[in-house]
Amino acid sequence: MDRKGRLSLDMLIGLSIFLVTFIFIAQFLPTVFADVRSEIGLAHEAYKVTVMLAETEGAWSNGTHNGTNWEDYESQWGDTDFVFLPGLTEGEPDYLEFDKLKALQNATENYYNKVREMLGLLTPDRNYNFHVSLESLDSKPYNRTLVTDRDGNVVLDAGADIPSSGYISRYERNVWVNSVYDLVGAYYIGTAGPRNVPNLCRVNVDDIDCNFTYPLRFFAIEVFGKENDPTNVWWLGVCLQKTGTPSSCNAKPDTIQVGYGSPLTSSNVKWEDTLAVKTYELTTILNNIMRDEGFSDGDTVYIKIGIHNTNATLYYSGTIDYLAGKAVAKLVVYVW
Amino acid sequence: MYGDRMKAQAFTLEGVMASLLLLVVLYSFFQSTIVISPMWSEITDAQLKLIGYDTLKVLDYYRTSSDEIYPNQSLQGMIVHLNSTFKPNQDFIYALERMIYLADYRLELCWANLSTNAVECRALVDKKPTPEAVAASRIVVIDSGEFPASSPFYGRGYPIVFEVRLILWRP
Repeated sequence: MDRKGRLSLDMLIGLSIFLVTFIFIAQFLPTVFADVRSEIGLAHEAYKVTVMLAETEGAWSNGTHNGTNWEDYESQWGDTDFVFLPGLTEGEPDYLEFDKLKALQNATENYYNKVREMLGLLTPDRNYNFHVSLESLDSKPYNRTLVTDRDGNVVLDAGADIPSSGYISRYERNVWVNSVYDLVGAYYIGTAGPRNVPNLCRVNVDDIDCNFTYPLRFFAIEVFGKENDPTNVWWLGVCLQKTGTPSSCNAKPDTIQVGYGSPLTSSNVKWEDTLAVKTYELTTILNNIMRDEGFSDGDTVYIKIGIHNTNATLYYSGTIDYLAGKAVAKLVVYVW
Repeated sequence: MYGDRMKAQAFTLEGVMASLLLLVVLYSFFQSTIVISPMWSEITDAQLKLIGYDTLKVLDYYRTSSDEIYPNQSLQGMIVHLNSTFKPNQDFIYALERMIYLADYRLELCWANLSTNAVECRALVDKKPTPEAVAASRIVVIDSGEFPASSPFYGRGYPIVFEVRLILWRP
């Protein structure tokens, strides 16, 4: 009897279909749950970094001593026996210290790999890059607005360049910074000496004209006293307009007045107070007036500051928001 | 010779059926509620929850002396200035919307009423959340002497514990 062993073509086809399906499922299942380089892993790393930066005050140790003021040991950051966690808070979550922000900028610029290692992004089995910045509340990923300090320098924008493609995880935390006056520009607008004003302002003989954008982020005036003759009257006026520069802004004697339109009269004054040696935080007052007058976000507002016989300083910022008595911004972390 | 002919159609069919069976099992497995893959929406909600938590923390104003007035934009300032309509002041709404930027929200206030031994709640901003909404809350305590006569909390005679609940979702 002839026995010819033949391999059936049908069996081969059926077996191939089954094996292809089995291999596909075997490949697919693990990727659903865990992958160190996947988007899920990145999100966890970015979240962890924001917690370490925005919710802890950090720590340092050199093997014999330790503490939380890691920002004071800049000369030792690069030492192999010096380890530090670059937390940014003042001991309370979301309450950041200005000096620590600056220190993180310096540490990341000079010791990027060490900072990565301290944040757990660089270990024997993982290698992530990061970027951290302090941005305005309405900053967008495609149009970032970085917070600047009183000298106009960017406070925090450190790390590797953010790639334009690939898996990137981004987390942001709303924070407030101590102190507000490190983050706002101080401009002398009094009558006692030479004035300096923000870029968007110009000094006239008797007053100052500014073109800002609604809503204002931070606008305050600190009054130090009368210029020369204490028996002479003094006043300070702030006038707002939607179109055209206000013509004049003379306030009533011994008062500070804020109004819409010019000149200031009893019908267009929206807020006033007795002029005294104190700081007038006017951000909310001015924004409320503009809101009531129908301003939309991004509208230009023309402001004239009239001042007479008064020593005063204008505090202004176009990047930090002053909300509920705090200088508020957002800490943005990218990890890839 | 006819007995030696092998009509093996069944092998192909068996292979196809086995493949289909594997795929159907896999599909049913992940469509059931027993298994929740980490790739699904929960991971993206963490950012929104953090924003809610941070916003309430920033708006919580800590006074250094009893002479200080709560800013209108703070949680305490918002609660103190509520009247019988339970509508938050515009300054607070501005600050809140500035911080949660682009997210939609519902705001609720709950408080302990010691007279009735009950917790009462009111919706201050009454919008309907989506199923993917997340919530954050914060507890604040305000002394009874802080409330003006127009406040629904005036004259209670005891510090009132409030829970401010912020529900956020992406529109």
